[in-house]
Amino acid sequence: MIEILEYEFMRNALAAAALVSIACGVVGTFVVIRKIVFISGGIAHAAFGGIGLGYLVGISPIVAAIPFSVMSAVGIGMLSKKADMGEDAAVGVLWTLGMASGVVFIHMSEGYAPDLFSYLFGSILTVPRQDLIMMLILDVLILGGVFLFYKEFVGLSFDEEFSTVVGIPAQWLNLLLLCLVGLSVVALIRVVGVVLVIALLTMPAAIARYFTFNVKKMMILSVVIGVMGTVTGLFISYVGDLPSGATIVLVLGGVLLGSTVLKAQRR
Amino acid sequence: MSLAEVLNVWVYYDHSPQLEDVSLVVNDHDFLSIIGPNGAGKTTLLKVILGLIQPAKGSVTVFGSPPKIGRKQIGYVPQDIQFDSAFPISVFDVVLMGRYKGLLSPHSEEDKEVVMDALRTVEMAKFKDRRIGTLSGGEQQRVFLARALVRQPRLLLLDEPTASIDPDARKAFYELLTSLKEKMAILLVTHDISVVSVYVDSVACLNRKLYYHGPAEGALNQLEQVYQCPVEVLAHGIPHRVLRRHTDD
Repeated sequence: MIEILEYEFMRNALAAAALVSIACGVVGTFVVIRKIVFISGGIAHAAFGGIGLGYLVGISPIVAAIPFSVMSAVGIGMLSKKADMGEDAAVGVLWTLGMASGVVFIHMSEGYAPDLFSYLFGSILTVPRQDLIMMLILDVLILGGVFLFYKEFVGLSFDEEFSTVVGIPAQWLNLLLLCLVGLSVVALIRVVGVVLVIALLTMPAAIARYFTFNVKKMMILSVVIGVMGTVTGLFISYVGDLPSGATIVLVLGGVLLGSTVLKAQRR
Repeated sequence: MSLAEVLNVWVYYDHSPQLEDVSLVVNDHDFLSIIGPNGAGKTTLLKVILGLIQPAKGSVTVFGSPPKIGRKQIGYVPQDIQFDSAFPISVFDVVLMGRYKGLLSPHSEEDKEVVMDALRTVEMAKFKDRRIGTLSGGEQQRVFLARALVRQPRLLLLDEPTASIDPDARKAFYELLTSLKEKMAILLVTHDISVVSVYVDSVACLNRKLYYHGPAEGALNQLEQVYQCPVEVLAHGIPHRVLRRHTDD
């Protein structure tokens, strides 16, 4: 088993697993307690527009996804506050508009898009070194944002109205949190793809919530669960020759199911 | 100086008026209750004072400033807060939120002492490490009161604070409020008129318009106009009917 660590692609994959687990544990905790799972799903799928744009203009699709993802986060955040439309409708619109523009961009770009499938469903075994550096930078940004505005994010998640009254700039910090979701989406695309991103933003945090009632501990536990889930999924997919992103999601799904049963029995 | 001043305020939702020409002044040491039926605009009026709703017409000042500035000196206990009962937060941390001072300013040791003091005031200190979702409705309401008190407010606003708690807890909650009124003015919104005559000093009757504002005793005669139907009031500790029986049956 140890000898596979001699391959560079495997070491990169393990590093990617650790780096994305930090993003998804920290941001995923807020996705779960703030109940913005659907919004985050929208941001993730809208990011596909950025992937397509990257193909079209000939830059790295994952780099093109960064501004696209952040802009769709801001767009969803602002549109969803407009009472006329309703939050879920706004999310649905941007979710599909992002994906549709991605499909059109890719169709318009020259040639064939060989690794398109890996952006949709992830491919942790082919993460190149420069993407690891990008993931590291995204992690630093995410951790910095959460470190600076931790108590505001928790306050807003618990009771937005009271938070506003005591002086938390709710509107801006809501948008900032969605931007952090956007950044973690980009970090996660290489590992599980836009379609499955939301699994990594919800499952580790949902499992962790069973075992703690402290937000900080929930984050740390989510990161640990994320690392274990992605690494386990990675090895199973390598040994069984299965698609890595989907295997990781299934492993985490199994752990979630197991902890739900465990929790129910303890009651 | 009055603590809060609402002058000729109009609020609309989708073109239908929620508040019509409402004026209300809250002074130091007031223990005032706003009563009225569901949909009368009671919560809207509180949110206008808190700057959460902009009135279409009229003016609002809180501690001599616009609400968005003055509200920092208000303690606010919202109506049954919709939070996830699995939300991972302890009672202590919920109350600590009330000590929020601004971006990038961490909580001090003094904040933690103020929180413990407030938890003792509402008799919830022994629950400080419990997850908020595991408490009963009445216990949660005390925690939310503590969260408002740690702001050391001169004005306390409460929106239907006893709507979801049982009668014994309700009585204890009002007695707790009575013990606070030396330190701060209290503005309480409720549709539970049975408690009003016993605990509060003055009453404002609201049903989109403000029908009455004055001593609690006088309010009872105005209730029929506000509710637009005959009303029976049975107050705690008063063994007789305060208003006449229904006559239309």
